[in-house]
Amino acid sequence: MDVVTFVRNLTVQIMAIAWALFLVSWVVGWAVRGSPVPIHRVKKAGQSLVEDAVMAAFWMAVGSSIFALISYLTSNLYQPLPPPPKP
Amino acid sequence: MEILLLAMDIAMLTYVIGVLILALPIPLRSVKRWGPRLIADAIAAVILASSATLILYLGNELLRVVGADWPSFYAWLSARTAALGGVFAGLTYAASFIKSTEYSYLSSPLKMAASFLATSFSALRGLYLLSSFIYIYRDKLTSIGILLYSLPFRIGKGVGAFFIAASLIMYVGMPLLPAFVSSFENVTVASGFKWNSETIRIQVVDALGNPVPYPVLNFYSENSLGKPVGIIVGDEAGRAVIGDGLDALPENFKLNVKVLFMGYIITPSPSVIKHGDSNVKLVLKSLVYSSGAALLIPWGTEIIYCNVTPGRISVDLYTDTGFTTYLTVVKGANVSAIMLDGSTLTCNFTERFWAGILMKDCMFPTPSGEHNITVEYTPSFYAKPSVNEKRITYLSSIFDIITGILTLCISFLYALVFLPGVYLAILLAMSAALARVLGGGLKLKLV
Repeated sequence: MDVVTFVRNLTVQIMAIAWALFLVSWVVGWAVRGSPVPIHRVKKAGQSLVEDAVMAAFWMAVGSSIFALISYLTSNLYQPLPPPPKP
Repeated sequence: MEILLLAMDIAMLTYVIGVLILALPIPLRSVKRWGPRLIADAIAAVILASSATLILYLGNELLRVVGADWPSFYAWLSARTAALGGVFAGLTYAASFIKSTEYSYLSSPLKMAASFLATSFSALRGLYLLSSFIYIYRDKLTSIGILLYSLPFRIGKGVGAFFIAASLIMYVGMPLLPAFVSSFENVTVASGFKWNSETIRIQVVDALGNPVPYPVLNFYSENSLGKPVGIIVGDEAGRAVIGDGLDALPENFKLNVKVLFMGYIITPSPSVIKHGDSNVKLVLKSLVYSSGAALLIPWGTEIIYCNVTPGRISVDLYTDTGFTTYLTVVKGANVSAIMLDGSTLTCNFTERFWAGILMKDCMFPTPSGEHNITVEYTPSFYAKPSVNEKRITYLSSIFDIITGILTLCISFLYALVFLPGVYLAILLAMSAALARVLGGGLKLKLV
């Protein structure tokens, strides 16, 4: 197994773990937020967990699209310059 | 390209790790902060990896705009190496040659100058190495920089950005080094070294204008007539050269000359050689020479007619006062007759040894009035006298030359060590600045 394959496998595995963690975070976040504990700080922590989990899900969803877009843009950017104008 | 692909994959990994950290169910801000950071780093790394070709193209384009190119830079380096090598070889040779002469005390400053040149050589070697590395491995340096840049948790972000910046700045900057050096070099070096090499050709002739073979020229300084400052032996045709890199002459010199021939010291006309002369004919007015026999007549004697053939000298002369005529022949020339106004003279020859040559002298009185002296003999040849030559060397000119050599070597040191050093420092500072723009200074706020 070469380095590229290893890195790709690792990426896929981490992405799977990240999705799982998103679900856990989302559930835990809502659970904390909705818990019958009258402490504002705890409820706020739950709120932030839900927000972060949603942001993570968003970046995970658009990740490959962002990479593809950057590659597309830069490959279109590199065009040979036109020859200088002649008087 | 493989490195760039790997960099892309590692950037993706960094991105995913960023997302993972963001999705962690831990409500700790210090940990969570790494999430957006890593996502931003990954996006920057992907932009750089996709723009690798653009960065390389940008380098070529900048080089074209500034009007520099690598072959000219290497030609400049080669020319410098050749010049440095020439001077170094010359100095080393001069230092080893001088060691065996009476000027051995000069070998120390020459060695110092040579050590300056050796330092310049090391600097040149460093320049060759660095420039070749940049020229050959520029694209690899950029790729490795991007790979380091894309590593997770900013492990290689700083060094990666520096690699990318250095590959671009050095590639454009190195070929501009000759222009940088030449713009500063002219300020100081032009006033430095001027090798004062004057050449004076001397021809020694007798009273009739015939060349005198192997004249020994004794040069005396302007003020003293004691010890000669130079002794130079002419060639078979009476020619000699002073200066021409053989002698260390001061800028404005004036030398008195006396010619030693067959053991006689004769004052020539003119008797002074000075700065600015190029061809000097030294006439020995009291000498008539032909094929191994010399007739010496004193000053103030007028030669009316003269006929010289190998084996016979016939001179018509006029004198107000009587004088003694000296006849000197080399050992192999046997004198058959000496005639004064047609009557044969008897003359006792005495043998004399001078500078490795065996000679015979005879003298006979000549009364006042007009006379004819004829000498008949078997012609012979005059061998080169074994006289130790001593080239003219003025201490002040030696100091001038050493100062000149040292100035030249210091100018090499300045142009090949100091100026490139300063220039490389400037390039490194520029690379660090650009690296800061790529790595440290660039902050993307995504969340």
